[in-house]
Amino acid sequence: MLKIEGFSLSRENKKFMLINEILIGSGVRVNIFGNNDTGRSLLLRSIHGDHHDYGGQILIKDKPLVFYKKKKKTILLDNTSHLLINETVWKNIIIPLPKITARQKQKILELCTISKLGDKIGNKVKTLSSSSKKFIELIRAVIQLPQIILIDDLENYFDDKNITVALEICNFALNSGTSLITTSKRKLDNFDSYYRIQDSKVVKL
Amino acid sequence: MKKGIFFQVIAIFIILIGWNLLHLGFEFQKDIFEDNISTSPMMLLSMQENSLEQLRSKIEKNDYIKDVAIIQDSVIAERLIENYDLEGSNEILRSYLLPTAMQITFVGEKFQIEQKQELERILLEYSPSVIYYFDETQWRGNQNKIEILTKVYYAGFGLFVILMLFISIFLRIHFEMKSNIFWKIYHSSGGYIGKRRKQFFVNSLYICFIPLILNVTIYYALIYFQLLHLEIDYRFFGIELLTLVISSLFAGIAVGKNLK
Repeated sequence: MLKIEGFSLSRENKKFMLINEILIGSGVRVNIFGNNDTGRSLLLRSIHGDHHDYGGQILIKDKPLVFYKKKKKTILLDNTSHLLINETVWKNIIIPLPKITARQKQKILELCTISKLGDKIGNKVKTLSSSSKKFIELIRAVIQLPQIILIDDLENYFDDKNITVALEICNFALNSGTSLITTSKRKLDNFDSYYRIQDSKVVKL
Repeated sequence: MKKGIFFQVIAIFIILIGWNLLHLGFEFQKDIFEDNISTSPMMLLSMQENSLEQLRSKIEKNDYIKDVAIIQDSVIAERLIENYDLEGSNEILRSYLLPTAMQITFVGEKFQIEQKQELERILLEYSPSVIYYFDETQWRGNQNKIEILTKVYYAGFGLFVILMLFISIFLRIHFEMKSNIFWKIYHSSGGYIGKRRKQFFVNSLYICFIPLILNVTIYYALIYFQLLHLEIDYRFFGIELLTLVISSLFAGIAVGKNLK
């Protein structure tokens, strides 16, 4: 599904985040970990199509990112909050959905229950904790079944227990062929494959 | 429909009502002045009935002539006797040779300076001996009033165009800017990229057509139930629509990159 070839980022004529080749199939969970300032966020933004200043090529389903310019197949969850804080949890989850099918509605409620948002579905987002807010964004991403869900700094929003819950939520999309790519400072549990950023290179473990 | 769009539809609807009222007010007042012209006939007197007949055939087909009536000398005598109670001098009066009269009434809307000059030219050319009476002061007064009224109307019309453009563009940009955060979140959460542009277009249709259709419906309902006797030229609604379309285009240009 995702193919990254000869990828590199550069800063002040110095290259970093060198990737020889990464191949990620459908329905897999990938964790890329490494220290701060190694280019993790820029890699995810590059895959998402928000950052263009990189070398090499990124292909999703054998097509370059420019092909998905008007119809994005990835959803990026980054450090900034993408929620309408004065609206309810439900309203925030359904923002991008053109129509809500009965199945989607049932699934949203199920996922909200898993993330302990079941009884807060009518509450305004501003009253919730930051991890609950991130769960809303995650449920919103998962319910759309994109090709790739990109989560930057997963451990920033969730503790170990909540990471397990987050992965459980992601299972719904993973079973439908969505891939999950997360970045973190340390190696996280329960992922299918791991990549370490080491000496400006990305190495598969 | 979102609250913002609903508010804009209401605001534009109210402005359109004002605009239509300005037009109806103008038509109403103009009709009064034109009626004054119509009710002030021109009287022509001549001893020769034939020359009046010839004159009638020359002018009666003009579109500014409403009616031409020739009054025989005998009828004039009868009317004088009736109106001034001259029964006693009936025989004396009948013995006089009275002139034949021709009464011309005008279509107030069309009898303007050029038409009056044309009529005077015909009178001079074909019947120089005819004596005519016409209340020129009243006619000129009404023409001046129509002229001033028309100028005021065009000024008001222009102001309404400016007001409509200003209000609709301003409101549109205001509500679009207000929804920037929503659309940013919509796009970042995986929403369809072209949705905002499409929504802007749909909202433009709502804003352009709903207030106008409501106004046109109210107008035709009033006409149908005979509660309104003044007519609005359908082209006037076309101008209103054009103004709204232009305002949407300007708003689209102003919002620009945000619509992507």
